[in-house]
Amino acid sequence: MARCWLFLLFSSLFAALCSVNTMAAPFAPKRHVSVDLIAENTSIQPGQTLTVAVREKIEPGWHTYWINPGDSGEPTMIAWNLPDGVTAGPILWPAPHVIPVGPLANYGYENELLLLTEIKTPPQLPPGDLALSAKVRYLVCKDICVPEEADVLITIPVKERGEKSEFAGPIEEARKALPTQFPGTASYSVNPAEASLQLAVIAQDNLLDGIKDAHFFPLAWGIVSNPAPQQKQISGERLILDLKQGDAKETPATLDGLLVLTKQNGERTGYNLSAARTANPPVLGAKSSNATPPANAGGASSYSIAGGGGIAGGLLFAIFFAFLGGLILNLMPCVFPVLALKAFSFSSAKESHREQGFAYLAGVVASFAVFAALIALLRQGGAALGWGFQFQSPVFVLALAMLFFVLGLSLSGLLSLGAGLASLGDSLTRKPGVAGYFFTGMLASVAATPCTAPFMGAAVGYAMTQPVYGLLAILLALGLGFAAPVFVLSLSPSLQRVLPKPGAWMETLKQVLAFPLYATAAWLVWVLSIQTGSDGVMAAGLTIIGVAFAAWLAGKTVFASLPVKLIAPAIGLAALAFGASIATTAGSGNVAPEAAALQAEPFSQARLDELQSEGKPVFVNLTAAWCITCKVNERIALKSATIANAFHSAGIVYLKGDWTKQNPEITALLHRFGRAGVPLYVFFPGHGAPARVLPQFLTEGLVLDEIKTQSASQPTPKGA
Amino acid sequence: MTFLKSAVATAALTGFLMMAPALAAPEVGKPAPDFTAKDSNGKTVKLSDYKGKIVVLEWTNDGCPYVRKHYSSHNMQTLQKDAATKGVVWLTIISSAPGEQGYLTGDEANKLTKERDASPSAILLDPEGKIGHLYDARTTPHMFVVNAEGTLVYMGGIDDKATTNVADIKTAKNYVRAALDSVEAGHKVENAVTRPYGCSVKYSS
Repeated sequence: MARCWLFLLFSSLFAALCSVNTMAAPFAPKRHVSVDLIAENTSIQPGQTLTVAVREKIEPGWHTYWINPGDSGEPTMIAWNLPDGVTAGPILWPAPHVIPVGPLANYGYENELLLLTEIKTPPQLPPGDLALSAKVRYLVCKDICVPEEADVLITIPVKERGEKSEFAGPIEEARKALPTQFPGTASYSVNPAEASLQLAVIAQDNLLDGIKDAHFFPLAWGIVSNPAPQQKQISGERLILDLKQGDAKETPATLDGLLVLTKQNGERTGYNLSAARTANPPVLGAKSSNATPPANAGGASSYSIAGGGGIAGGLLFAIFFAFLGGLILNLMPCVFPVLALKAFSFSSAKESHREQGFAYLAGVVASFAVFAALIALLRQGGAALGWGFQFQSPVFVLALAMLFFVLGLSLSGLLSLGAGLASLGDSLTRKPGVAGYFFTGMLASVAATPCTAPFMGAAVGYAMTQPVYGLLAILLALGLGFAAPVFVLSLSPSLQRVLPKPGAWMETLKQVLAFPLYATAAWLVWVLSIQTGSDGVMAAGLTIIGVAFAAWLAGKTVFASLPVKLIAPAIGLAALAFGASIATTAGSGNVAPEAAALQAEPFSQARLDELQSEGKPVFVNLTAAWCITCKVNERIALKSATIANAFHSAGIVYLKGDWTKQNPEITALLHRFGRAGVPLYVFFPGHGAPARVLPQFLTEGLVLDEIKTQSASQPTPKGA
Repeated sequence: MTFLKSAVATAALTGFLMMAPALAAPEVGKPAPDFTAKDSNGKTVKLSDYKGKIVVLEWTNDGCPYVRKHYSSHNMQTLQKDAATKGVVWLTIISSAPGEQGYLTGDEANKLTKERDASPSAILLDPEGKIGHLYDARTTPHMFVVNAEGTLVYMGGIDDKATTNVADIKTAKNYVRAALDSVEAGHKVENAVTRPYGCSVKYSS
């Protein structure tokens, strides 16, 4: 027992002895930065300006801060103590780096930092040594922060001639790397609805050639969000950066800051700029490489749009086009079968036709209002959204396919009324009286969303950029246009008389109409196959069998007791859940290889920027599996060997973006051109010429003309 | 006909839904986002419980030199006491993730409060950073003031001198004090959004 205690005593003594070394000096926290003051010259002439630098050697992994430290932190501050008549200028800050810290971002430096300062001396100086001292205070952080301070001092002899010191080299290098005044003009505009700012600069001297990255560092707090990514667009000598607004939501007359451009080889250069606030959103597209456009990137020169049409100017136009688009939607194959059925029953139902019409209208309006609410809420939440987005969810596609299949079954007479939850959609639309019409209205609206007709594309895209009331107005106009034909039919007695009298033919027609519904279901399964591959198709197949079985069982148990009646809907739901679980976990689909003579590269923003900075012409096709217009256009206008040859000889790169699954880069490009849905065809002729948007209905001739005219009118490429 | 009415009502309701408050970061002039949290004694606390009282939210991390500046000088404690006499509810919130600087268990937090003579109405433990992210709390200290109706009236720094130097407190303009005075007097808060300064909140990511 005693031995144990002795051992303990000795080991603790030993430990104490070992710690004596560290205890010898008065307790000093370990410094993370070693600071000293270096001067460019070894001696100084009276009246001369001497460049000195506070040198911070920062421990790896730690960082100090720029003049605007970002979301947290504090910049280095130098408090000079100088002889009479000697003055020090401000710190000349090098270009900082973005240092992300979780959801925040700071601006600062790592490893080694030279903070240059100019010391001015008076023409008369007493002979001897000049003592330059300062207290340097800074915050140095890694995951925790430590404020440190250091006293620095150098003495420099006053002599007839100044001589360069050993530090002249590094100081000169640091001076060369300092940010300079931006050669060009800069402006910015505000988009309050999206809480974003757009910075637009026009650079001289081929500054933007070969630029890989651009970042704007604001000088003041609160105007620009620090952690938000900055999407860039470069075209020739124009650069546009999308910035998110900061907390203060201020929009000063000038936005001051540092624009740092990174070349392909990693070289970074900083430019001080002061961007004037303008009312018009900046757009790309300079007329010629030699012109010096005015500082106001005026809204008049919008990107040119081939073949007429384009962004509707003004809310009223958008509403009008939305109404027209809604009318046309009635003809879409995903909508027509559901409607045709309902239109006939106007002539046979007991209730007032007017009530039925209003109920249908209400159903449509309610659906579109819900869409608008969803888009507005999700847009607030920052999700990049587009029309038809719900079709990017495999579960939604599967569910809709099943719904149409079940409706088809009921039209075929294989499913009787009130049979289980699996046929809820159908039974809702078959509810007697006005309720049925209300739900028909809702069902038709849901099915209409992916069929982005030509008139709708521009109007909905415009709606997405509007504040809430504009969005609501446009989507409601769309809904009203959509509901109009059926509504009119219900109101006008004379038109109703034109409708054929009920008879046996209605039953036959009803059965025939089941087939477009089956076709829609099949098409949805094809969309699913693109999203989830063959596994998804297998899942859909099994789900269909499960649902069909449930439907048959429901028919058999119609007169059974309640517990037995519940078996069928239970099976139906289980089948749907099974299918949905496979749909969400199945991998990405086999991309159907299109036997195209025209070779397509997959679209990515980085690739587009790269090609643009190389001055190459690019043809961008944004499409999606559910987009019928896109498929038709591709088949008609982009498949032939003629097109392939034309692209090849003009050196045009063909980028194809598939929006079947969520893709934020594609969504961003759609937004940039004011669209919310596909298709979108944009031709970038290259060498800084403005982007040209092609119409949503393509023909081969149209595409060829576009390529030829642009190639012919190319400005001569900027000379070497 | 009744079904028609309910259909129209549904459409109207969805219209109202769109006027609902934004789900994004908090904004001065809008309702302060409600939250539920456990305090250092294990009791569940909701912001909406305090409707009818002015509430101050203070994000803290006792290892941060900026927090220490205001606690070692008793600046924060004085502010808390003055606020308490006015019936203001003071909630100190710790959003540091476990293992990060500033993280404390309930007992440790209570001990710290005693040690530094602080007097918050409650210390809320937010190790998952839910409330921190809800309010986009970025620094320690980061201060928010909510009026008796539940509207956010101030968010930002505690004062206008963003340093760790205790000597700067005397000459700095204390935004929180000014905000509380304005709310009490029924005036609009003058500097409603200011730059929060301090160390970054030590979230888990």
